[in-house]
Amino acid sequence: MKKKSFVLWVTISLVLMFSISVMAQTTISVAWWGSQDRHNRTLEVIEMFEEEYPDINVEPEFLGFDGYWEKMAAQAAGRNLPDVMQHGYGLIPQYIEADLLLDLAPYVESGEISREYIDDTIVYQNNGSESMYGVNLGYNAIGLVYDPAMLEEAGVEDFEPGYTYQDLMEKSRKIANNTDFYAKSSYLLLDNIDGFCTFLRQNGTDLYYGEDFASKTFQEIEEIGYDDDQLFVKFHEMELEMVEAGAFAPIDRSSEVTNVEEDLLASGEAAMSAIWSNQLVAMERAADRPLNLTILPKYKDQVAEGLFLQPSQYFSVASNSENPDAAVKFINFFVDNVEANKVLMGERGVPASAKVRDALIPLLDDTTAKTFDYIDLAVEHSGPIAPPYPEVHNQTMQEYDNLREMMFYGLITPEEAARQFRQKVNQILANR
Amino acid sequence: MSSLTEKAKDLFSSKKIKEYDNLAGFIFISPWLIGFIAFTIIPMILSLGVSFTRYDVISAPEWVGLKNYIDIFTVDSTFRSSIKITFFYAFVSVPLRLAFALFLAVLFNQKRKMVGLYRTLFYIPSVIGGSVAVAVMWRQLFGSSGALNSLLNAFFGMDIARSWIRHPQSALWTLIFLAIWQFGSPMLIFLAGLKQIPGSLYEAALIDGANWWQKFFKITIPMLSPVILFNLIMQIISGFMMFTQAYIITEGGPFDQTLVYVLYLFRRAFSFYEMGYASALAWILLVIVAIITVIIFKTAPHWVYYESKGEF
Repeated sequence: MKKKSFVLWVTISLVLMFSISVMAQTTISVAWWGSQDRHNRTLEVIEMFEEEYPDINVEPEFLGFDGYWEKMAAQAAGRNLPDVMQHGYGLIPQYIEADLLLDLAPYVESGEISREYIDDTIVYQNNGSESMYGVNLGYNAIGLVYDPAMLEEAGVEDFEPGYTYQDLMEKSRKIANNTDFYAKSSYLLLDNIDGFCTFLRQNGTDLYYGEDFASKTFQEIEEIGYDDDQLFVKFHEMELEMVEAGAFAPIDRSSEVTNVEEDLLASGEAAMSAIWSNQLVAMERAADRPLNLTILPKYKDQVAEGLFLQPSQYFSVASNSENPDAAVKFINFFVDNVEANKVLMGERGVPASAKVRDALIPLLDDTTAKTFDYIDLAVEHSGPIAPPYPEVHNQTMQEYDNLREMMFYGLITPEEAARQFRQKVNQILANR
Repeated sequence: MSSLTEKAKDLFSSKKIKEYDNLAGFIFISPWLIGFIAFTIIPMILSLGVSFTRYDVISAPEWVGLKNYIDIFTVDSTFRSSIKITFFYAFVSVPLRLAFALFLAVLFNQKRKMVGLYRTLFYIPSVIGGSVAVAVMWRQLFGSSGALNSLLNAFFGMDIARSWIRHPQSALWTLIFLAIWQFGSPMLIFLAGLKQIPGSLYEAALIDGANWWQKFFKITIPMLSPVILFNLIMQIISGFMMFTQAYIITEGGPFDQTLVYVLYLFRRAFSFYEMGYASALAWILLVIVAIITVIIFKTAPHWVYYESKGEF
């Protein structure tokens, strides 16, 4: 009888202790989007974090890209966003604007997050003080990807970083003349407005911010940033010339491509393409042959670098979070802990921290090593990234795509497209 | 005894039974009813409210009155072009689809061997619907290195590199062609209608010496006209609501040449985050479809033949 009651008491006290410890535990939710590979890696890091901080319990929420933003929008409407949410460069302005994210500046000041992990893109200056809304989870940059064997077959020399648009056009012509494949997989230098934005930066201006990034915040932008429509004309005339020469794939062929796997470079019909560095893994897998990644061409009398590094994702803390301290601890562990990053292996982009990068480099496979090397190369040829674009940038991109297609089908001249583009963008900005 | 019979009378009194039956009826239909109220009626009312606001989902909606509607009708040129495209699509694809469905229904109405198999086979395209598989197949057929261009090259020696899906002059036609190809459901309804036509009419015509065409236009078409009306209305409505095909095959391009109305609405809502504006667009579409349906109904007495003289 006594024995029994003893066991009973021990059980009860154990249960009580356990439940007290559970009650003393702080719970934070962490949300991200991504592939199954990312889910597995992130979940493993969450377990490591919980082992290190037994008083913090992490509830993961993970989805694919589209479902993720729909769910976040619904939760934002109810003001119950997860404590830690993965964010992207494109949508973060809307969330900041709606006051949904916590300013992390105090945590940076107190040293709980190293300034190294805060990318300048999401640092806002207001009245002399800085506010920061996201922690960089990895760097990404656009680059020119090409098949060195195909260049050799065409008798064209390899790309040397620092090459110009003129060099690229000459090489492309040679490839078109000497072989039966296209030089470039699409009729564009880059597959969306990014190409034109790069050219604007090389000419010392920007689509929205003009000559000075710090001149205004994205909320204050009222009109298109550049003054000279000749920039638009010059840039697209280069592309038109290349298509006419048969060096860039025609619009009919290349506009059918909807993902990296369908790219003409992957299928061996073209020698070059343009991608974000984190797409190299997918591109090389689809092409099934070794590819090289190099920087974008420079403009012959450029006044600034066109290339820039972009954080592929951020972790942000929701302003409705009840445990921001625990959330910050988690984020710091995620970006700063070397063992955790050995699990993540730069899947979200090249880590911002040199300490983490150095620890990972000996462990990388060939393709990922190329993306790490590329980021190192890109750093030397990069300018500052523009602050986030206005939340209506999606509409600008749509208008740009439409005008560009009309231009390449020969329905309007580059001059007319330039004029209409300016008018449309100003109209979009005026209506917001 | 008497109380028992009273009770029985009471139990079977028509009023009680009616009440009891109604209750049972509502209980049986409740799953649908709840779904209809929760997922159709309430969202519709909410969307009417939202259409008077500026609402980007993540921040609170802001009342703007009629601004969305005024903007749509005065400054929005994409609205006008998408309306034009949608009307063109609906009024070209629906008659063609119905004609094709009727043609095959007449063919399959004959008592031949294997006709059941053919009916099933020809229904399959409609089952596939607007899936990604269809988008891929359409690209294989009408892409720049697709089957159509290969055929043209092989038989006529024409070396064409045009992408029929992406070219501004043909993109919408590939979608119309897809709509015609998916003729299955109107075909089945036509088949059912054809079976209802009494054989005696055809026998009488045969005795009078009518040929096939005379029989088709003087008996089949008039007898089938109520079914044609039904199909016409259903197909016009679904034509105006066309979305998936344009979304997955052309994405509205090139330069908005296949941007049908609902795709434009979707773009406003889910890529520009303008829920208020998109809701206003939705209500305008509802009104347009209602007006067209009423017009078709008004013309019906002039060409639809009801044996029962219009009393359903």
